[in-house]
Amino acid sequence: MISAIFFYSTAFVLFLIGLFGVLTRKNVIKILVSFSITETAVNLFLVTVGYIEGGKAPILTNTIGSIGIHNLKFVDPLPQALVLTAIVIGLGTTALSLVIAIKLYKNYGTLNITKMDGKI
Amino acid sequence: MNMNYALLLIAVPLAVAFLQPLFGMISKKFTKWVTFLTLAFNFVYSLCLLNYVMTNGPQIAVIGNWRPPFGINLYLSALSLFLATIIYFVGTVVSFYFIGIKDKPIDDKLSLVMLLVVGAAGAIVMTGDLFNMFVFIEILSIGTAILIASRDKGLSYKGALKYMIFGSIGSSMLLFAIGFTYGTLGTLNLAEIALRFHEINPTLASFIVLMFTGGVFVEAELFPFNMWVPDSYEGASPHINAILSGIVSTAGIYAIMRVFMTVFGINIGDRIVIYGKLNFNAILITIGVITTAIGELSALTQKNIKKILAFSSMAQMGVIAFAIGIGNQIALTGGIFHLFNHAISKALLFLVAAMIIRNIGSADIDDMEGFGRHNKFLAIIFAIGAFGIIGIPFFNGFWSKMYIIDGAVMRSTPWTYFALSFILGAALIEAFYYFRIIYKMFNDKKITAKNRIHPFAYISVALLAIVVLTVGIYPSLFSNILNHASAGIFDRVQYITTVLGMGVLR
Repeated sequence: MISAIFFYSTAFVLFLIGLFGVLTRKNVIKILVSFSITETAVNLFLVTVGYIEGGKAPILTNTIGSIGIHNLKFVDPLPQALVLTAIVIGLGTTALSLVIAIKLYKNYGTLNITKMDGKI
Repeated sequence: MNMNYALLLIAVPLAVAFLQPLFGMISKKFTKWVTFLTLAFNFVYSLCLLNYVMTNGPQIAVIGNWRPPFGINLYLSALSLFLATIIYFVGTVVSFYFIGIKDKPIDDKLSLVMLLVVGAAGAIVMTGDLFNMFVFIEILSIGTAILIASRDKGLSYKGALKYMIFGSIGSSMLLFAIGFTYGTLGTLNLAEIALRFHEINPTLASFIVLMFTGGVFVEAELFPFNMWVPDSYEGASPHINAILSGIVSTAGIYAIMRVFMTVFGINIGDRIVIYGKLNFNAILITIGVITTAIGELSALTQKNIKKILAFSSMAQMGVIAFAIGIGNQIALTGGIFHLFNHAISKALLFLVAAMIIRNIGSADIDDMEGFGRHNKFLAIIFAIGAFGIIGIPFFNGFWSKMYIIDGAVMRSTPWTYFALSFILGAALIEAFYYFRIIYKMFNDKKITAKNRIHPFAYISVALLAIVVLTVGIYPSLFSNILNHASAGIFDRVQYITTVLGMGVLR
């Protein structure tokens, strides 16, 4: 069993890798890849926050009465909902950024952001 | 009155937005009218709700009968509805201006995005839930990027990309902050976080606050996250800039006020201090001063009117951040008042700039020499807006800046006086470059107009100018609302009891 601290540190390292990519890369596509890495890091973090070992879906069924409500481990669906939303939003953001990247290439003939400066 | 009808303020723009491509099959002009009518409906309805809230106190709208702290609720207070009214008002005026512009093939899609942005900004100021706030900030930033890119020039795509870069990094940081908040407190309801935030370890609390800045400082155009401002404003069409400056930054500043003050703050004496190991109030004051200084000094060196107005907009946000950092009620009242003045005056200035650029075909202020002789009406309206932003006595900015100065003097620590001197010095620089534009406009020089201006454009700027003049001459018009609004931030207990008192834990 891998402990939660492993996932937390992985998420943090991934976030830093993504941030490093965004800050240092010059190619628009590489910057967008770095974004995806940061988004993955955040999603991993949120999933880890919401994880409860041996947790069950929070649905009331007939068997609950026999176990007793205080012995149950329910998982809060909120982080899952949050991650799902974040994934969808990430998809939208990436799609829009890629469209902008295509348009930039058509306008400037390059994807290097330093070479775009000075041209209108 | 069932407050759940307040949901219409969010549902109607979003629902109509996605019908716009269908309306676009009939005619592009029709979609613009639909946008205008939808936003006008929102404006009138939020005004009615504001009136109701002013007499009956703050209300909450519970969605799907999942009572707080579970489920989602809208918090309808004087502050939320006042800012929502401003947002919808600016949206209405800009969409009215938009009707007068020559039809382009993408106008139905632009109307769609415009409705999305205004609807999302209105939702940010009303929501009572951190998760919802995140979703609407994302809708706002994606929509804004599309609006910036819509001019279809290389520069506008560059601006949109820069905005997306900052927005994405900011939203990742915001999600981290939300994750930490959820991990420690197990809730995302703003009122419950406000109730229990001081239980968190102060170091972690400071970390959460710092991560949170990433998400909201982008929209609020505050220092480390405002590098997108010059390129994006220069790349976008000028009437889109009115939306960027009047609506997007208003929503961003609201998020800072509500989350940093009401939720993360604690009342100490006569002011609110942001909880945590770091003295975040001092950081906010410093950020405000840096933003103002950078904004005003950069504006001074620019020749492009769009960039000048963009940097000026950034500087005003710095002034408001300074007011929030001081944290007593007078400064907060001034901050909210200045937010209102900035939204109205800057929308006015950008719309006038759009008309001038369209009329003479250049955005350079040197080419505007003699414009005041050629078109007196527009130049005078521009002067009114500029006086409002600078804060000439008997214009609206004067009163809000007076409130902020009053609050800063009441705080009376050496650091606030030092910061205040910077803010006032920056205001002088601001006066200098605005007067330079106005002086150039009234110079004696023959000018040749290229394009005609639609009468709708004149009506929309005249409307905004009337608001600027009315507030300047009769500032106590809003004083009751403003006092309620700042009390809404200041009175944290009332916020918590209003929301949770409706909830399951009463």
